[in-house]
Amino acid sequence: MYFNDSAMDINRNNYETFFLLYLDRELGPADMQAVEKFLFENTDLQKEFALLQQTIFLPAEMVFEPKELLLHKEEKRRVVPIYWIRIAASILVMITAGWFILAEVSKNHKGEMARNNQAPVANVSSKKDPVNTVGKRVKTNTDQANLTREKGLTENKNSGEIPNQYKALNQTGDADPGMKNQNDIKEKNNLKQQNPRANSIPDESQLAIQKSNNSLEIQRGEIRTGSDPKQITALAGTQAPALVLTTTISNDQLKYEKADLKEQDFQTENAISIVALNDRNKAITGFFKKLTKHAPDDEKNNARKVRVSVFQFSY
Amino acid sequence: MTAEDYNDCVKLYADGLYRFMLKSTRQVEDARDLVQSSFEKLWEHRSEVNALKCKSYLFTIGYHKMIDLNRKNSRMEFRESLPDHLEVAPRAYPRLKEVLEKALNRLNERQRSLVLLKDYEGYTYEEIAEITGLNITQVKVTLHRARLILKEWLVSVENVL
Repeated sequence: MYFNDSAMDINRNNYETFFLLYLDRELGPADMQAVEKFLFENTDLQKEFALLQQTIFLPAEMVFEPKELLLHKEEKRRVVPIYWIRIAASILVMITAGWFILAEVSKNHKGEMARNNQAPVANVSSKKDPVNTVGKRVKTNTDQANLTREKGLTENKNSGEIPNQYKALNQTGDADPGMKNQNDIKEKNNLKQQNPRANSIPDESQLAIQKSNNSLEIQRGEIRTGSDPKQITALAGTQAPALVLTTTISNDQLKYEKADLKEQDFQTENAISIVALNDRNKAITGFFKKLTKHAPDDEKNNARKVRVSVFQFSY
Repeated sequence: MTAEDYNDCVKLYADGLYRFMLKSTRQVEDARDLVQSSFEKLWEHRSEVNALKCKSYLFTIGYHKMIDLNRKNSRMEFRESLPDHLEVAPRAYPRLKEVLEKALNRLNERQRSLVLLKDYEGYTYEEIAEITGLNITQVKVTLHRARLILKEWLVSVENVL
């Protein structure tokens, strides 16, 4: 942008302004040519133009020596080459971390599922259908954790001896090879709760063991046998006083009491015993055990059946 | 502007700003302090400054800092002459430079700054207006008056010489 007074031409009245604008290089090419032409035509003004020209200061070379102090030095970024081995290692680390995370999430999910499905699952046979419970597969709330074991127990009432299969189960806990393949067979030792009338269980009685879920943990312990329930003060694996729920013959109503393990009405016919084995983690783990009536169609053998189902209550 | 632009600005304009400050204040230490403080402010506001206008921004800062300093110190007495190493190139007339330096002292602060910005830095009237905060007409009038004062001084000295 040129600063000029192009609206008017240079003349002897305004030449000083044109001279100054010319010296300050604020005129356009046309105005500059007009000034030069004016000077050529008015030689008497050339001296005055020269004086004004001498008022222009010539730039002097000056150096600001501490210039380095003003400079800001940037840290050079270090370029790290990415090699294939580093990429592979990174991928491996991510995959490993992802695998662990998935495993942990899956584990937690299973735990939640187990707690959610820990409703009482004991499918205790009722009086009305004592026969159908014999050898019947007991269904659980969780399919994957369902371990139903039906094992026929035949016992000679007269002999009063526990069948060999039952003995093996009681003594080793590994009598059934099929159970070895199950992950949750810990409870089977504890299922061998003393039953004073076990010796009188007739042949073909069956023991059904149901595990509610994987999280059910019943510690292995000493198998307690005997005829006197008072001798049983605690079940193996229990860490707190057991909760004993029993039924009475008269009204079939459950009652409970907190005490060391007792099974007062255990021997009664058609009684349902609920024995807590563990109350860790806000849950009561135990099993139902029922001794059925005589099978009506098996009068001659006086067959009776015991059914045991494991449960876990959350509270 | 980036840090690199800032460094380029230092390399390109630090000398010119120092010259302008030295001619205006005629105090070496003041000139250096003004240059340093001007660049410090430029660095602080580098994100707001267009790299293409860093020179104008820098001289604007320096000009106002110089005005503030002069007002603060009320220092209107300048040294008679610059140090030897600051001598400008001799003109055809050997003493003309010395005469002009004296003539420059006869100008007031605004006139001197405008003459320096115009002659040393080559700013246009418009750019000087932006730096000094004056309008273009004020710049033009101020500069013309300064030139006429310098011319009259040269004429009077020339008569003596």
